[in-house]
Amino acid sequence: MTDVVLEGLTKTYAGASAAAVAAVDLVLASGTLTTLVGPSGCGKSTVLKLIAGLLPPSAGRVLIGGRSMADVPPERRGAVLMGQDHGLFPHMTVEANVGFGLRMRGVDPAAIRRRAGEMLDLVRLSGFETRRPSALSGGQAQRVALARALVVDPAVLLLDEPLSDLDPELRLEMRDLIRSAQRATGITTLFVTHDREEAVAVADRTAVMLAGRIAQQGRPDAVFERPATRAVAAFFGIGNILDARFDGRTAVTALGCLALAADPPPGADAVVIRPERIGVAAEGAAASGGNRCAATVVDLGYRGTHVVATFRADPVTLTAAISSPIAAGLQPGDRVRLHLPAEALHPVTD
Amino acid sequence: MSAVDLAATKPADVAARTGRTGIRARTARIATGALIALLLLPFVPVLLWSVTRGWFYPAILPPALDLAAWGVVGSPESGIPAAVLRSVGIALGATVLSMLIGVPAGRALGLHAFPGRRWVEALVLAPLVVPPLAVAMGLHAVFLRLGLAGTATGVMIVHLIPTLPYVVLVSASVFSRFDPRVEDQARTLGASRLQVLRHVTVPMLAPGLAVAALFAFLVSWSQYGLTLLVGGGQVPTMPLILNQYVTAGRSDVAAAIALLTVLPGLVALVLSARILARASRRDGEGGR
Repeated sequence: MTDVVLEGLTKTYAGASAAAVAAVDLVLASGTLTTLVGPSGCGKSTVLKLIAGLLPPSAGRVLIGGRSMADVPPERRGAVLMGQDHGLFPHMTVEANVGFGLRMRGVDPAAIRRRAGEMLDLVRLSGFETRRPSALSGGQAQRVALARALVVDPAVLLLDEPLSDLDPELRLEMRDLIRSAQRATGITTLFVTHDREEAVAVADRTAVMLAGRIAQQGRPDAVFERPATRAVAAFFGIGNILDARFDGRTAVTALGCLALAADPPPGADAVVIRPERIGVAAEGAAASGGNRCAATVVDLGYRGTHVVATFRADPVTLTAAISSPIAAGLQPGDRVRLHLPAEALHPVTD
Repeated sequence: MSAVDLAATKPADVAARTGRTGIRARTARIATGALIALLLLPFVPVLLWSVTRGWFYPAILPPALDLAAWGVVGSPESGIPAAVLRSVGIALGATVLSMLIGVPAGRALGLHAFPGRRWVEALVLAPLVVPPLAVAMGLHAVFLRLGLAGTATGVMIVHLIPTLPYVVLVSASVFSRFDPRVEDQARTLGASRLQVLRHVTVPMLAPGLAVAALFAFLVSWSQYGLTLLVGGGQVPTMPLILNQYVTAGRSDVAAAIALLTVLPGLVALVLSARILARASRRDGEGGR
């Protein structure tokens, strides 16, 4: 069991004005799967390379199992990288690919064959031993890559967008495979992705990275539901951001005074609400409690599982995800009353 | 048409298709045969010339078998065995030098996008566009001052003018299909820098680079003008010797030498075809 600690990890590429990774502090608890999520170019892949030792940090350090990795080359860190496109060696058979790490360690050939066979079994690719990577589908290749990574029994598994080249169905299958393999082996895993759903679906913990910094980290549901900053809220698809002043548990916004369920953190200057948490009622409906406002339907967009409704509640525009039956009774131009429940309103800082 | 009809037509359809493939295969075989004949037939008279003397118009067949030409080719006094060694040495040297310079250049062109890359690519091609002789005229003066004119080393260096563009362009295309992230993954899987080079990088790049080296060897091997100019006639390589015998009217010896000079080309052709076939089998159709 190995934990990974990043302390003030910083990387500035030669010639770049801003740091690609800026003073990142992150703890990957032993045996957990942490997702690192952020838009492309936010520096998340650089973090992986720094942990793997493929790049030297400009400042800060990486500790794996409590040991500083400053002078440890990649091949002795026990941190295996699995890339976006499978990165299989095209000149080797599937079996030779899987056995590669063991061969580099001088394990005897019979043992390599046995272990490679076990791993191919685990990823359900027994019988593919003599194939070449070019004769595999994208999903199969990615599974071979997973087997190749797991066979060396790594202390840390570093996954760089492992699903982004796959079709939607394969994606789910591979995601579950990675998750179950990770649970079974207890390998400390850092999973980098730009996909928000993926990030919160597989993780024990989620860290959001924006412009080289960790903007927020915590349990996936906490990060998803309660973003700390406007930028994190926007990244998780929350367009409903209302500028606010706070007076105790009251937020003073353009929509009037809104009650909050908890005290706002210091420095908070806006409240956000997830689209699926906004309640919609007909204009004349009996309204009990506060946090209600009049609004006009601007647009209704059918999304299959739900309807994205845009409302104008002067002077702001709010977006709500509502169920189809409720949307069926609405048309653009209709007057409604919106309910912003106090427990769903979340204060954020800039 | 009902489903039954459809099913009934299937075997016939299959037969028609195999018939068509049969015709296609036969056509391909005939075309290949014709191509080989076209390439090899010109060598038949050369081969005959090399084993006869005094074969002139209107005689249709050579008068008698005469191996004198091969005797000349094999005798040390003619200087031909030495010329073979000299040519091989110069071509090998030019190959090694152009690989040492051209492969890193090709790597940079193939792996990195940098401003002005198109210009560099155009410049690399320039020696093939500008007649090399024009460049060599200028270089000759420099070589004279450096004492390289009239030496095998000088000839070897001047051969870089035509060999380098091939090596750079071929290795650029080899590297552009190479994903260096594969090396990263190999490192984290437990391979040292040296192991990555030995087990990943070299085996992945070797077929393409071997073809680049073959090109360089052949281009140097068949070089005439540059050798004559910079060697000043003091570095008689095979093409120069061949020319001497042609102008001297010894068509039998010339023919024998011609056959000798063709040999590396044929070997290289077969070798590179095999290397490329193996590499493409590995990459698969449409593979990276």
